[in-house]
Amino acid sequence: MPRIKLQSSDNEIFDIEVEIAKCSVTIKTMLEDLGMDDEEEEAVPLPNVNSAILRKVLQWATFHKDDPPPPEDDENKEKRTDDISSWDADFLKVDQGTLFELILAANYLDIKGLLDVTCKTVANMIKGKAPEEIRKTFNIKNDFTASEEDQVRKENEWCEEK
Amino acid sequence: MGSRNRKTKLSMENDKDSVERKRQCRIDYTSLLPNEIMIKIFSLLPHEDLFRNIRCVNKRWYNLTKAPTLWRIISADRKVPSSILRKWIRHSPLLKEISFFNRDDMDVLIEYISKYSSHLQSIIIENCWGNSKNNYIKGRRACGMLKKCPKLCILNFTQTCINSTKFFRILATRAGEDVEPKKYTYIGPITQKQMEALLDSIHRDNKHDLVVSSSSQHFGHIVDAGSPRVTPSVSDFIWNNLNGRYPNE
Repeated sequence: MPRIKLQSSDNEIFDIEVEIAKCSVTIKTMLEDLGMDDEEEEAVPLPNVNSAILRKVLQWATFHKDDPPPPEDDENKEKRTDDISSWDADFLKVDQGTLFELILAANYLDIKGLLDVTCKTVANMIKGKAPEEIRKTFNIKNDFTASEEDQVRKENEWCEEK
Repeated sequence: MGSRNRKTKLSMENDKDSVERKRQCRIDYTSLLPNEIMIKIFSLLPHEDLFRNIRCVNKRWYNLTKAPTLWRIISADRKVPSSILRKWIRHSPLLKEISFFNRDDMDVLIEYISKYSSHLQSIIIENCWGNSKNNYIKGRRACGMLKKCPKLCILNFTQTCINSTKFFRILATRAGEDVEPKKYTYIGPITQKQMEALLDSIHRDNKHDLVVSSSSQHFGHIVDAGSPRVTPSVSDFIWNNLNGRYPNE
């Protein structure tokens, strides 16, 4: 199995199988564009991902390396958030900082499967919650002025009842 | 280990202020996510959440919920005020499917759709009136929509009447336009006159073939599938199966 070295933002080197690294479209294109061959000695620098997160990402990629490629986003398909596998659900039992850093890493590295499942996890944290509960969950500051908030609420009156 | 120490310390000084202070200095990680990811997350949530909760969180979330990609499908019963719905349609240029139920403002909404929803593919209008005084949808408005929404190919007007024969002429002939997909469905009431206009247009315009069939006991169903030409027996069959719910028929 050909291997490759990845270098995290804090300069840790990860020596992994090329096939696993290639689940990242970013790394895959980088290798193709740079014409790096599989026996490349030099580490591929990933300045946007620290070692803790990269370790998680690679753990995810290793587990999912034999998965079929995720389907393209289909706007006609019903959106589901309850189809997270139990392995992924366990894997994502992390603090919010890690979860959001994983989203950013999945986005930067272009790993669709990981991005999908992390976004679903966040969507599930939002689903069915009232605005104040959402703010509490994510420490979001309410920056509406009183009159703006009134306005928003007014637009919402029709859906308040139930 | 360190975290456990901190926890004990926190429970010791368990006054509300410190908890509140702690909450305030915690990070809002959502603020670190780029807009496109926030919209991706929002797109996984039901519209009810978007409307009732998400848009009320803060200014950024409010503005993000306006992203047209979140509003490809809109559904509204009479609970949604007309003014809100008009605004909604105006801000949803990517709208593909719209459904209305039990409303009495179709004339004005269809005008808005003609103006703003050029990508519309499917419209369902169930048990609706043109306006509060008239149960018919004005023909001019409905014809305008057929012209301005070239991709519109599914029209379900269950228990909703259109006051126009021209509408059915256009419906019959636009099937021959070079528009994808080339499959048209109309479900809904149709008067004898409208049916004649429809069949007349189909027969006169020989450019394409049209299959007419009945989808259920109650509704006419017209599909262009590029197969056998309408024959009198086929049209009789439909007509007999139509229970056009026109009040004046």
